[in-house]
Amino acid sequence: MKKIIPFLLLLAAGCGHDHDDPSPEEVDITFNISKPTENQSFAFGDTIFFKSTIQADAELHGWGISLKRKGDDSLVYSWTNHYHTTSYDINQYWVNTLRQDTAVVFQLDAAINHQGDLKSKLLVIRTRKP
Amino acid sequence: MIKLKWLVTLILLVLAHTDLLACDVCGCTAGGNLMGILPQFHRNFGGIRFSERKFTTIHPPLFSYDSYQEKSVETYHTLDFWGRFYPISKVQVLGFVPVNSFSQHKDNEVKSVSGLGDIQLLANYTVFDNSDSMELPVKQIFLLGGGVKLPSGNSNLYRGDERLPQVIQLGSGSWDWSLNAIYTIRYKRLGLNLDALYKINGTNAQQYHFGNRFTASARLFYWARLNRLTFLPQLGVFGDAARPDQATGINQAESGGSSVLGIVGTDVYYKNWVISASLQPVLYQNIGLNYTTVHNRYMLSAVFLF
Repeated sequence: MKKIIPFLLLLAAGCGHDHDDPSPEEVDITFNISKPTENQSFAFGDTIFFKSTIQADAELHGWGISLKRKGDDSLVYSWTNHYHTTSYDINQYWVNTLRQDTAVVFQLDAAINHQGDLKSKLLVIRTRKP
Repeated sequence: MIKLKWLVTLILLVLAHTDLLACDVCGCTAGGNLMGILPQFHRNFGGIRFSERKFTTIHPPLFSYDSYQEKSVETYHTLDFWGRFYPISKVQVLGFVPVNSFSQHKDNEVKSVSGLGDIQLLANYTVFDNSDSMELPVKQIFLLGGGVKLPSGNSNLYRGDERLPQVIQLGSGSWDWSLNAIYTIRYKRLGLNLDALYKINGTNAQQYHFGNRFTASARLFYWARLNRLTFLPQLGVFGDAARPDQATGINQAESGGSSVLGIVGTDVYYKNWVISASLQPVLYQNIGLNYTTVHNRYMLSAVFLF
């Protein structure tokens, strides 16, 4: 009986044809990364500013930024924010704690839904020994 | 006894197939508004009604490097100024003017809004009414009607540069329409009230469309007199089902769903006054793909009959 009533309610709410959930390709997103720039180099102790914008033609579910070592993909830094809107203005920073000469991938992610569909923009920056 | 064709009409109305063309993973403001057992069908009234609804929502991680699941609690307090009058025989008009106070608690952050909500107007036609009969032991009354919800509540509130989530905007921003039916049958002191409402929601200027909604309730009631007070205790069940919301035409997968709540309450009549209280414990729920949990609800009301 517990399951019959909700079923009847949903039946009464209508079973018309709905729009399918879009694939990520159907959502148009524009990324603009002002800082850092491609191949920009940072010494140990330098402050790395992350300044970006994300614009979409549909409501997004949140944004995230991450830094991962290029060689082993290990996470160095990340920051996320979950709020629903069609555009984000991102201003974050991180103090470089890496002491090696290494390539690091900066990734800017926009979440299209809660099922793990994302769109991203990447660029590579470099850290250098103190 | 009520004619079969009217009963069939009611059933068809309730099960009408409709092509359906915030609130993402959050509790939702756009709810159906059932009447309950209206006092003294033939009289006008005016009064106030206070209700609380609360939802807890878990936001699943969005990214592989997300370290936590966000949790938010949305609380909706509404004070309705409401009333009913009969402009002509057999037609009743009801109006609801809500003043809302909504809040969202997410981690250590609180967002809150308060102000005028969406005004609703309903008109019901008395299809059948033998409640005045002194001869018939079984009294029945059946009303059919419809209504409109105005976008009078602000639906585009900001805090700084950030637009507040749709779920805690004061209004939906859309013109919405509803169809409803109310049937009451009573034998001596014992009665049954059935109430159903189907809400067809519009799309607001932000291209957000709250999913269409069907709500229904069934309540058993009993008339009891004590000195100059009349009591109307009630026990029943209330169901609610909504299609997913849409943002720019795209289904919000974690919205919509269904719930079943119990109803325990009473009305107390004293001269021209009716005081009501009810508690709605949650019996079943599947809201927003189970990311959202509905909490028990309560409602208090006071009206003056004239």
